Amino acid sequence: MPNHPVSSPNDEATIRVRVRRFDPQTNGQPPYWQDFQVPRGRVARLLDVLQYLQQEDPTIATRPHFCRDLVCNGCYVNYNGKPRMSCMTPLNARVTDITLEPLQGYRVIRDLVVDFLDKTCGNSAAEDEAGV
Amino acid sequence: MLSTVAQVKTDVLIIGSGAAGARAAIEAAEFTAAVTLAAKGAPRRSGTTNLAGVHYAAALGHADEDTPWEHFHDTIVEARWLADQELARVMCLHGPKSVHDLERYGLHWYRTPDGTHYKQLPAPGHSFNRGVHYNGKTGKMVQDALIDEVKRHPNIHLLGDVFITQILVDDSGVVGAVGIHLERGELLAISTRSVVIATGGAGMVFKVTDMETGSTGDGIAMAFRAGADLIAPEMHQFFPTAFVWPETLRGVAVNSSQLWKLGLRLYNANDERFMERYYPEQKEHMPRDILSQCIFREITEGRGAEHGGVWLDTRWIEEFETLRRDRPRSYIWPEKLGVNVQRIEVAPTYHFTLGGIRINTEAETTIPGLYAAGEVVGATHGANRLAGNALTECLVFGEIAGRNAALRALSTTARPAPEAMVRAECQRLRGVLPETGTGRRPRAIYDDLRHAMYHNVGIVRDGRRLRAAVRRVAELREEVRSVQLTNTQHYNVEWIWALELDGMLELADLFATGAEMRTESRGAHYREDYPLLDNENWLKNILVRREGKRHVYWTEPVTLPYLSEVKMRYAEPSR
Ligand SMILES: Cc1cc2nc3c(=O)[nH]c(=O)nc-3n(C[C@H](O)[C@H](O)[C@H](O)COP(=O)(O)OP(=O)(O)OC[C@H]3O[C@@H](n4cnc5c(N)ncnc54)[C@H](O)[C@@H]3O)c2cc1C
Ligand code: FES
Repeated sequence: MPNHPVSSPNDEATIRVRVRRFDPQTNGQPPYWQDFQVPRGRVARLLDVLQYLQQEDPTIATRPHFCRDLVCNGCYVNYNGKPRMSCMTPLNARVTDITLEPLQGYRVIRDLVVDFLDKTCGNSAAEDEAGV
Repeated sequence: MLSTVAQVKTDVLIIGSGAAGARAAIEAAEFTAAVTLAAKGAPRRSGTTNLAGVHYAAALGHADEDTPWEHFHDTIVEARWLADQELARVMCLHGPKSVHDLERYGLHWYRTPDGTHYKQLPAPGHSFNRGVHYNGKTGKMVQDALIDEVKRHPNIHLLGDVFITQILVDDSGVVGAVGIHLERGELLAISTRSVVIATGGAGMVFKVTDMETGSTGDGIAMAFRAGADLIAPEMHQFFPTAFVWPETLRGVAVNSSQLWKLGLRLYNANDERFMERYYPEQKEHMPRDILSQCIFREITEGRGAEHGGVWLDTRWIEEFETLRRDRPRSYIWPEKLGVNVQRIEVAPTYHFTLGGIRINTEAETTIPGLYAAGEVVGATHGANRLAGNALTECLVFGEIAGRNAALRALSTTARPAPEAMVRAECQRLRGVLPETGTGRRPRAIYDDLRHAMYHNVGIVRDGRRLRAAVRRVAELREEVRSVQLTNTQHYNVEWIWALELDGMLELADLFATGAEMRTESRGAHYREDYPLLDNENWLKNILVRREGKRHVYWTEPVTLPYLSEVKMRYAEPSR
């Protein structure tokens, strides 16, 4: 197999990322969606998107601690409606739109951060479904 | 900012829920009803323990003639005689018990086909097959088994997303701690007479590392601020082979103990098998420190490949296909990101913090009531750590620290965390997290620091660059006072970065200064301007402590109570 970049070398190309933002502790402010354009050349997998967003807009909350290597299970988010381990989700050239929400089945702390010690419903199979 | 203070009372506070902290909690909970286990990340999902690849070193003596003494011998020799022999001895003697403890918590180790013995793998530097394992998932299985046991224990209060910032100490020793409840943005004043620091290593101080991204050395910095002795601040282990490309994998280790055994080969950009030049006989069969230095030299002397690495070639390995299928995470998954696993471009990555908090065999630091265990501790592995010894150290000293912390709590009078000290920490935090800063954002300074440390205090060092690093760190420390932060109270990620950066800057200065002091080369510490090992002057450890605002450095000769005839196993690379 040749050594070639997975994402397109065209740095102009972007991925549209919709993020669900919500702070349950701020009374009255309902959840809302925010859109970002993420340069394709900067992201090879979903984990890179989370890091990119966090640095572009530090008001977003994502977990800053993770293993990058498929073992901590700390990088889960809901990706286009389904639980996904973000470090194990490559973004190929066909991906143009992404929707990100906090991982289902756990209490939301803020934005994409959930409390992994606090399962909110029986659907903790969320992660098993993702095939891990 | 941080306007409310919540009070927490506990007999024992354990900081960090990795292998060392979780084990300490389980042990403490056998003695006392009030154990608090706090982690700045999500318990089970944070820390470097999950990443531990394969080996858990313990001389079980099941299948061969191995004994803890043999294990001890290997550990000391590979440590280039700089390890604390008392600590290493305890680690090796208690290693087998810790394997059985983990089995009791639910980790079903791989066994021999007839099921009677644990299966033990060989690893470089170990004279016997010593690595108990759970295939490529050993660390994760250790972490899971421990957290499952923690959750079964009614005496342990598990707190995620709590960032501990300070240990409160008076003349009698530990009197409390302060932390931030990240979700609420609230200060926690913790009343306790016993604290175990188990916060792991400091890989993030360097730009390229395979450690978890929260490995920022917070606990080492906290112990230092509290006045505890640190030991071996100059010792940092690099793992020779990690991805350099694609960017998203840079620094992630290519798990290679197995590859070594099967006969991997390393080539530079000229297609030269360069290890033949350095070690015509052993070639790639050399310990981590020496391989890292040779690879680094190929790269800096202009023989590196496209992305600044050398080629790890697996095409020579007959069994590679079997290994590849056995370890999909290591060898099949990277293909999805474009890596060619037959020829992987690799370079060394920061792997393990050899220096750290000084403890004795009772896991006591130099402050009464303050204990430490795991990677946060220094000197157990001297100038080079053997594969598999890190997890063993965590479990062995976690148990000892947990027990002693509980016993101390039960034999001292509890009292509330002194208000004046809590207020002083609140004041300090206002400086670390300024409300009206207009300077750069914390992440930018954080990245600059990591860059400076990797290039100036990394694998190959010299006095000029070490001094440049100290100056750069001082500049960044100045700059960080006016850091600009987003102002949310609730799970503010920039607060986390700023808090981590505060400790990293403290440590970076100690790491560089310690490295400048050691005017020789030994194990992981290689000085281009002092390339030779110097047993006459440097069978010594460097120590540092804070007294008021001053940093006091001194050296102490290594004591050799059990193995005293200093003999080196390897010739140093012909420099
Ligand atoms: C890629 C890789 C492979 C490895 N392979 C092996 C191997 O095969 N065998 C082996 O023995 N070792 C191996 N190691 C080393 C080993 O994994 C670590 O040394 C060990 O897991 C460290 O455990 P710990 O409990 O000391 O710290 P960690 O597991 O890092 O845990 C630290 C904990 O402290 C918490 N924390 C940190 N700061 C704070 C704070 N300020 N407030 C509150 N909480 C805090 C974190 O959230 C975390 O819970 C490997 C390391 C790496 C990187
Ligand atoms: S980053 Fe650890 S599992 Fe994804």
